[in-house]
Amino acid sequence: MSMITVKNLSAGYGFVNVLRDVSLDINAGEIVAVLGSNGVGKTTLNNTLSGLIKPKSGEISFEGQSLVGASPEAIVNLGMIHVPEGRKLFPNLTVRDNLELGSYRRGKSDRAANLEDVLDTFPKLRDRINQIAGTLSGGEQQMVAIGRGLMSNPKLLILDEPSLGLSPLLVEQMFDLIKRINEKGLTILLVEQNVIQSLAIADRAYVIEEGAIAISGNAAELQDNAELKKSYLGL
Amino acid sequence: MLPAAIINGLMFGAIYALVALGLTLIYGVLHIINFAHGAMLMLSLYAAFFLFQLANIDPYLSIAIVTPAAFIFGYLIYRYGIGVLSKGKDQNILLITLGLSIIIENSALFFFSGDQQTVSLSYSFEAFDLGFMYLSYPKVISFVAALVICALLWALMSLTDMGRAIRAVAKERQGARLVGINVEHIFAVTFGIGIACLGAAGCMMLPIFYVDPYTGNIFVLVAFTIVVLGGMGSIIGALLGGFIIGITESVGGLLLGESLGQIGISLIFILILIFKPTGLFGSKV
Repeated sequence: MSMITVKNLSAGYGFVNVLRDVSLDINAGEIVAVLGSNGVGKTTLNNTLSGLIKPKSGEISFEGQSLVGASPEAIVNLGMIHVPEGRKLFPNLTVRDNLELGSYRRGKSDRAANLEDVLDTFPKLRDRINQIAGTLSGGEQQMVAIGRGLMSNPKLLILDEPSLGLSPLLVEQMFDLIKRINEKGLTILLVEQNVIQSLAIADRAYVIEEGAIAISGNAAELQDNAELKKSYLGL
Repeated sequence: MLPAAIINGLMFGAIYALVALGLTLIYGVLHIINFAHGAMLMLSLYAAFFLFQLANIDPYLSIAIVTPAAFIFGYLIYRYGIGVLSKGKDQNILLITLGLSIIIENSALFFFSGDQQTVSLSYSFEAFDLGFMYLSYPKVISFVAALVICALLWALMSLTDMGRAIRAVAKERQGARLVGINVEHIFAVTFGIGIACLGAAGCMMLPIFYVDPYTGNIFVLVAFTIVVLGGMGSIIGALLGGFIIGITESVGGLLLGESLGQIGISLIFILILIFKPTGLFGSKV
């Protein structure tokens, strides 16, 4: 049974359609990668899923419930969390405040326990807990962004370009970490430009070109897909 | 004479600080200048005035009525007026608040007339004897109440989820939406808190000042100076700035005569713009 189903979704800004007729689905427990280069509509897809922009047409349903017209708060309440590209941390607040605001909608009930979990996942943040988030390094900020997403006990985590701007070593660690979070039972939509690393950890993948799904299939099979190799890997 | 002037300045500065606090909070979070600030302060003064005239409620007790009422007024006028009409564009908000101030002031002129109104309390002329000066009860009460309100506001901003959400929205609206913060609600709450500060300030001013449809603007001009001095968006800056300006005005009045006392304020304003345009405390919210 799929956790989220997107059917014939079109979305964009003003008169411009960025996404055209996109359909995809994600099953509980999967890592699904959405791949594509800059400007093909990956972030528009995420922003539509998380309610920041309204779809022009099409259907999105999360656990059987329609998300079309739902507010971002309502979508957070349902358990779908979007960790945005560029992190969008609260730069003037401490790491602790950033993380705790991740559970803003849940109140204080299991905040302390969730914070402990996040700090176990990202031990480095323990030393940084009272530091102002804007002063952290890029890698640490990405940890806070994912940690903030985990604070609300989500069912589905949308990660938008988590490897962007990280050093090669950190990129490797970031993908390991995504895999580990997934193994704990969290479903993940991974939106990336890093095709090789994403296919290595994903179960299935969709490739977006010019706002529409161009290729889709099992990650393992896509690793050998000639068209994909040619367009994205230059092989 | 000088210590007396300084203490007097502190007393008045606390009220200035409250007016500036509202202005700086709204600026810090919504990134707009509320041009209707003076008009709304004037409404608070009239609210306290009529509560005294018609229901015989002491202005200091009115704080408990006018402050929450001002919060609700501010919340509603942002949520269902300014926020909706502006369609999310900052320059529209500017024009709407300017228009609002014209409407409020002229309505006040129409309904309340242009006459200056004052109240006199039974204890208006009673005072503490400090040895070197007399300190009137109303001034002391205003001072203490202003400090209490600043402390409450500080606690709200640093210790509660609401306060953290307000500070989060000030810097990162999209990030705030994605953790499930309703940004429009937070804007309206912030606007409400800013106007609530005016509600309290209006009640405190009434016993030591007068009210007419333009009273608010006198204070808001000073409040702008305080906000620039303290740093746009800084709460602590507004408080300290209020005291500095209060003392400057009072000491300036002592040295140069009452009517020239405000020269010092303009001088500080110019110096700050030349030497530290970000103000004493930068732009921390």
